[in-house]
Amino acid sequence: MSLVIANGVCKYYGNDEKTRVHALLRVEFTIEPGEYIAVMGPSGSGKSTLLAILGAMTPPSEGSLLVDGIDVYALSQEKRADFRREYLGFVFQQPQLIPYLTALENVMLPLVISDVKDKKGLAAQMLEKVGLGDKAKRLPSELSGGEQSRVAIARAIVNDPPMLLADEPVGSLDSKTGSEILDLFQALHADGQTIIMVTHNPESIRDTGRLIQLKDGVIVSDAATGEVLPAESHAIGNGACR
Amino acid sequence: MRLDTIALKNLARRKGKAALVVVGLAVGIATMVSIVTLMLAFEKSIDTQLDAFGFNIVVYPASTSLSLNYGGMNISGVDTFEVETLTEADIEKARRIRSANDITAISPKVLQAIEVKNRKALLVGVDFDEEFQAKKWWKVMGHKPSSKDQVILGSDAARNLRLKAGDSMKIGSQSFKVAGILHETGSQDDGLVFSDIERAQALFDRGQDLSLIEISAQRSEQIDNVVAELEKALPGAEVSSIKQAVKYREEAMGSLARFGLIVTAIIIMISGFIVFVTMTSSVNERKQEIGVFRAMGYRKSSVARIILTEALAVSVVGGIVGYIAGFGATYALPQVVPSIELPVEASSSVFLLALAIAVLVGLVSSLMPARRAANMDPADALKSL
Repeated sequence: MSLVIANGVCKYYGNDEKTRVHALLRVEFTIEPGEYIAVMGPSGSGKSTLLAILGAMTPPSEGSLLVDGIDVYALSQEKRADFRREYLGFVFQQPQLIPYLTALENVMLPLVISDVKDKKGLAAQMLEKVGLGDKAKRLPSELSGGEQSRVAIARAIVNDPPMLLADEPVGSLDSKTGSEILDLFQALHADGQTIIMVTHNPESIRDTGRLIQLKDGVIVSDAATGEVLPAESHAIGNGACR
Repeated sequence: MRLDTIALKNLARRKGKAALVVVGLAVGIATMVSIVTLMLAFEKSIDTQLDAFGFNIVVYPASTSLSLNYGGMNISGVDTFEVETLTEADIEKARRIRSANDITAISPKVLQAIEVKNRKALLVGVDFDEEFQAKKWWKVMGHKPSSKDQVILGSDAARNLRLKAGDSMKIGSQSFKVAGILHETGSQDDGLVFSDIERAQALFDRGQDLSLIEISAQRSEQIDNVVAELEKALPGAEVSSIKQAVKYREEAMGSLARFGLIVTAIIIMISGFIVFVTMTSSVNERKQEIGVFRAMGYRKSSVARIILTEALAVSVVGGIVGYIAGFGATYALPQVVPSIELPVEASSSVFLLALAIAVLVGLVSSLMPARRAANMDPADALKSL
């Protein structure tokens, strides 16, 4: 069974049909467990809106999103919060670590609201996994940009989410550090982690297995990374919302 | 790590803002503590002064045939025509009332108009031990009576009868020695002649009869209750309290309480506003942080709990600091201004009240910011990332 099924997802702003601004136009796709997908497109193409919808944070205007068979936007807001805790891990463009908590405490944050017993042990294990076992007690201000990104990744995967959502995860890093972070993503993928990465940086998609390209709110390409789609395959979905 | 840890660590990082809330609350609480402590001290001072009046309840025979003014009250039973009488048995009844523990002294008295050297005076037969116990301010020139044929005179009575300590005087057929003269008291005592009660009863052929019983309730607020029980225990007697004293106390405390309440309410409201503004600003500054929490799956209630835990922590500190500051200022007042003599005392009740109000104000003022934080749309919050 597919992990994600996006069905005719539309997102528009404004109630008046004439002045309505469309961010996504009847987008449809599925994601299988363990896929490593890049979502690319120019500014304003709808990448961030798609990520917010996949992240159970912004309800689509039309259509539905099923994750593991759950109709995400049929859930109440609080149930959606529970869903995010259980199913999703986020890596933002900036690490967004909580500045007054140590690296270890930052990684523990998703566990604070879970039933996991050995929270500290599990968080320490995740820090080890991203190569920062020796920096557990450091505050974010005492870590380099790359190290902060690693802590953010450890935080995103500590509750073992079925899906990892990353928004320009190397956008703020130099190329060497960025490459290290991409290596880390690849390692996670190799362990079976499903990853959806939004990026505009072509270098970031190097390890991804599938590339979804968006333009003006429409998926113009959805194929294995590196493949070129024939012209008639463009504009997947019917591209029309109410 | 728990939600509370997040809240407390955030406070530790934002010391300036936390200090602002603490100071804002502490000022309000200090004002309240000062006013309440002053009120309690003032109340105690008034009580002490009122209690120093000595007896505050008078029991006298119900029927009136002749009135005689004693202590601003019309007292019956000073002649032989009364229908009802008080006897020494009534003293025992008074001692057995339920609130007997609230009574510090019971002093039976026999009153009789007398003539000494052709001058009229009022003689009061008393139990000297009880009388000196209740009227601690009595100072005697000479000495206290050491036998039943000795009397003491009020200052006016001594002047009127032209007697001094050591003189002899004759009442009816019996001779008495003036053991001492009271220093002027400013009360009715100045005009009276005090003799032993048994000797007075014998002298005027009164048997066990009494003219009145004066009773001292321990504290002014106990008077009404003691009066009510005495009325039940002594149906044939009139029981009267020194209402003026009680009324004075109630009026004085009432005015002070009203003033205190208004000032405290205004300052506490200002404190609440400071907490509200500071917490709102703190929530706005932490929009991204809250967005991250929400994206990670924190429920609204978890976010609200973080904010309210912060509010609770600063409120408790504000309450403690406010209590110390308020009590300290009030305690220092009589030391700084020696003319103010107030018995300022620390009170655990006032401390708990201060803490409760600080927590209440802190939490209520933070409810709206907490709600605002909890209701933040994670997507909106993350747009600013």
